[in-house]
Amino acid sequence: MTDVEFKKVLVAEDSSVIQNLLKKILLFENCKITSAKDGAKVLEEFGKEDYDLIIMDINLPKVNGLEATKKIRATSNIPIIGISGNAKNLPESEFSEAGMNEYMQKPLDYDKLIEWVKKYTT
Amino acid sequence: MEGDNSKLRKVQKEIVQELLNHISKEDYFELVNEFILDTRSQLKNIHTEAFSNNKQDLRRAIHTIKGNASSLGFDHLSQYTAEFEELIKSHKEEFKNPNFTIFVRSIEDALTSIEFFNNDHDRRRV
Repeated sequence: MTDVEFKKVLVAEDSSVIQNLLKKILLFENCKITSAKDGAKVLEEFGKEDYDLIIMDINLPKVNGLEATKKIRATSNIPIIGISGNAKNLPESEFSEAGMNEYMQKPLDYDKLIEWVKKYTT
Repeated sequence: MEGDNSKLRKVQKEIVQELLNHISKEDYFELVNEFILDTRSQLKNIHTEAFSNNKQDLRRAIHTIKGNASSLGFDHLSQYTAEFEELIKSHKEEFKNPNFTIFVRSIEDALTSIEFFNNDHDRRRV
């Protein structure tokens, strides 16, 4: 019998509804989700565990998602997927320059999100 | 800017169908219930913050409702909230309080309708 290898995913999202939605969707992708409700918490959690992937909302309290990404990028190449409710107001370059590997706008394309999760965690 | 309840409670079928490709109907209804509870909590925050100087918390509450609604397929409700969000941004400190009451009431009415249908697990919506 083989042990299932869980992917450790840090989800930075201040909405508990979307946190739970992502947990339910990623459950079948063998993802172990850790939640962070603000940018400061993301940075704190990131230091505690060896994560495989971060899903980062842009509009986080305390430290926004772009700033948190830049700080993480200073020491790590961990894949980061950005999600946003206001992406149309930000130029594409903002996400890539912050160091995000991918980004998408809400409502999320869940097929694409799962595709990216698989891509960056194998 | 009163919201039309018959529109605000409706879901965009394509978004819900896409969700149901990944989660069960029971999970979806559970998330909608959570959305209803969370939005009611956000509306209380809006009511408090509207009469205070804490515009950042006010904007965050509205932004949260908008994002949650769109994620679960309530695109009219999300769009209505987005319009209100823009109204606040444009008026900044000079915003007139009665509009908050109208907004909160419209959202509350929509939530009551959504809750009614969700509790009956109305499959015609999905």
